[in-house]
Amino acid sequence: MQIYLPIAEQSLNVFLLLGMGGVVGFLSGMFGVGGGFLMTPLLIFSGIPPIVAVATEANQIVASSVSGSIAQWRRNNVDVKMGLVLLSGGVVGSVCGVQLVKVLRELGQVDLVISLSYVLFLGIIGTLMLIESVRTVLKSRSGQAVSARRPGQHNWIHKLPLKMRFKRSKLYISAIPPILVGVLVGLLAAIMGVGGGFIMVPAMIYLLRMPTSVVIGTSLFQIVFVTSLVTILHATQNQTVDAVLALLLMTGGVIGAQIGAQAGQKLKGEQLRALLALMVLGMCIKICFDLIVEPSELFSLAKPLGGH
Amino acid sequence: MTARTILAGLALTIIVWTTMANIALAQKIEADLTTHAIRVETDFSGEKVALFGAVTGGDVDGSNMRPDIIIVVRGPKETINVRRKRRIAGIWINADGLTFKDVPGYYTTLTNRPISEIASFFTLGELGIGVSSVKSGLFIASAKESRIDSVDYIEAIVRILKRDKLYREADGGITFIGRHLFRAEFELPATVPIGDYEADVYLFRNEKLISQYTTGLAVEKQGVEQWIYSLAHEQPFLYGILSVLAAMAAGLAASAIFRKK
Repeated sequence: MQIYLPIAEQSLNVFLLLGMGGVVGFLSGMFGVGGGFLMTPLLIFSGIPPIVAVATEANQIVASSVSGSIAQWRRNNVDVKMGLVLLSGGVVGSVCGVQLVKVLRELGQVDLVISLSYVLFLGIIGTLMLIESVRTVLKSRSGQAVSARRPGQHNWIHKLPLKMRFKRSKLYISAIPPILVGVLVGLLAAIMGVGGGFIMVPAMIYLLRMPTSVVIGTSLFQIVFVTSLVTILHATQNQTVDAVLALLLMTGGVIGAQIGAQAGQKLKGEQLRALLALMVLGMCIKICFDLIVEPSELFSLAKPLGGH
Repeated sequence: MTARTILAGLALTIIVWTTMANIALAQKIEADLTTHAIRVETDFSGEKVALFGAVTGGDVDGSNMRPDIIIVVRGPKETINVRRKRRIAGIWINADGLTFKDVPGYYTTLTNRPISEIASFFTLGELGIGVSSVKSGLFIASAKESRIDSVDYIEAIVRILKRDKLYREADGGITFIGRHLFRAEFELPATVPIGDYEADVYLFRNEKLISQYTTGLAVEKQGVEQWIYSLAHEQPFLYGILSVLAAMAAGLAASAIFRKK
C-alpha cells in the first residue's frame, strides 16, 4: 500500500515506513539509544531528500523523547537546572544549525554536509561501540568482573569562570562546558536530525561528571525541547517537515521501542551491542561509498526554495 | 426568369458548392480527456489518463490516407537548478550549477506513427512539438548566460526527467479505432508536478498542420495532502507548532498506553 507524502512529494510504501520505524524503535528501546542516527540515513537511503529526512526525524524524536523523559521525570531523574543550562546552548546551536542548512541548501551543498557529518559520527560511534562490546565480551569470558570505567580528573574544567551550583547533580561547576555541549548538540540536531544523546551522555558522565542516575533523564529533557525547536525552525525556514512521514515513523517507533525494551531485559546485550555497532559501521561505509564512487548521474535537479 | 436571376442563382450554387467542398476538405479534430482533474490524495501513486478523439470531415481529396495525429501534454513551467558533480579531494561534490526558468515539469508526446514521418523537423520545431523543441527553447533562454557547457545541462534536465518518467518521447501511443476515432493514454507518475497541464492534439495531413485542439488538465493536491501542504507553505510557523504538538501528544499517548500494561 503506497502513501503519498505531501512535503517529500513522493509516494512510498506504508509498511516499509512503519517497519523502519519499528526496527529503529526496537533497537533504541533495547539499547536505550535515540533512533535518529539510524533513522535519518535509512530515510535518505529510501529516497527521501536529505533535508526532509533531517527535519522530519527531528519531529519524530520529539515523540520518542517525550515518552522517555516522562518516565525519567516520574523517577525524579531529571536535573532541571542542568537541563536548562544545556538547553540555552541548544537554542543557540539549533538556530545556527538551521540557518546553516538553509544557506547550504541554496549553495547546493546541504546533502554533502549531511553525508559527511554522518560518515564522521557513525564512524566514531560505531568504532567506540564495537571496541567497548568486544572488550566486555572478552572480559566476561575471562571471568573478570565488568566494571564501569572511573573517569579521571578534569581539573581544567574547575578553573573556568561562571560557576553554578547544580543541586540535583551535586555539582559546583562552570556553566561554560554544559553550554558548549548544548551548542554542539543543537547543531547536530539541526544538521543531522538526531537527538544528540550519543554525544551528550558521554559528555555528562566523563566531562561534567554528573551522577549516572540523572544523566539519561536530563539528556532526554533537553532533547525534547531542542528537537521541538529544530522542528519549528526547519518548518519555518526550510519547509521540510513532513508531518505524514513523521506520524508513520512515530507509530512504528513507539511499538518497536516497547518490544525492544522488553526484549532488552531478557536477551544478553553485549553480542547484540556488537551487532548494532557493525550495523552503524555498515551505514557509515555505505555513505562513504556513495561519496567516493562515481555516481551514474553526475547531474542533479533541484527546485529553488519557494519555487511553487 | 431573367438572365439576372439565373446568374444570381448560378453564383449562389457555386458559393454553396465551394463552401461545402471546403467544409469537407477541412478535416477537424476534436478530443477530450477522461478526466480534467487529477487529485493528489493520500493514496496517490501516479495515474494514467486516457484521451479520446475523433477526426471529423471526409476524405474529399480522394486519397484514402488516414490523417496523422500528434498529442503533446505539457506540464506547468518550473525553475530548476541543475548541478554538476565533480571529484574534489576524492569525493563527488556539486561543483557547478546553472539555473533554468520555464522548464516544463512534464512533457509527453504521443503519435500514431513515427514522428519523423508525420512532419518535418522544422515544422515540429515551429509548433514546439517534441523534446528537441523543449531543448532548443532552453538553449535560447540560456544564451545570455553565454556558457559553453549549457548544452550539457539541458541534456541532463531531459535525461533525468525522462528517467523519472516525467518526460516521454515515443513514436506511437495513439491507436485508431476504426477510421475516425482514436484513443491514447499517458501516465502521470507519483512525482508529477502540481499545476495546470495542457494537452494539445495536432492533426497533420501531408506533413501540414490542418487542425488543432487544446484541452486542459489540472493536477492538484486534495484533502489532507492539500491541507498539510498549504499549511506548511503558507503558515509554516503554525505548521511547525502543530507538528511538535502532534509529536508530543503521540509520545504522551504512548507512555499512557504502555504504562497501564
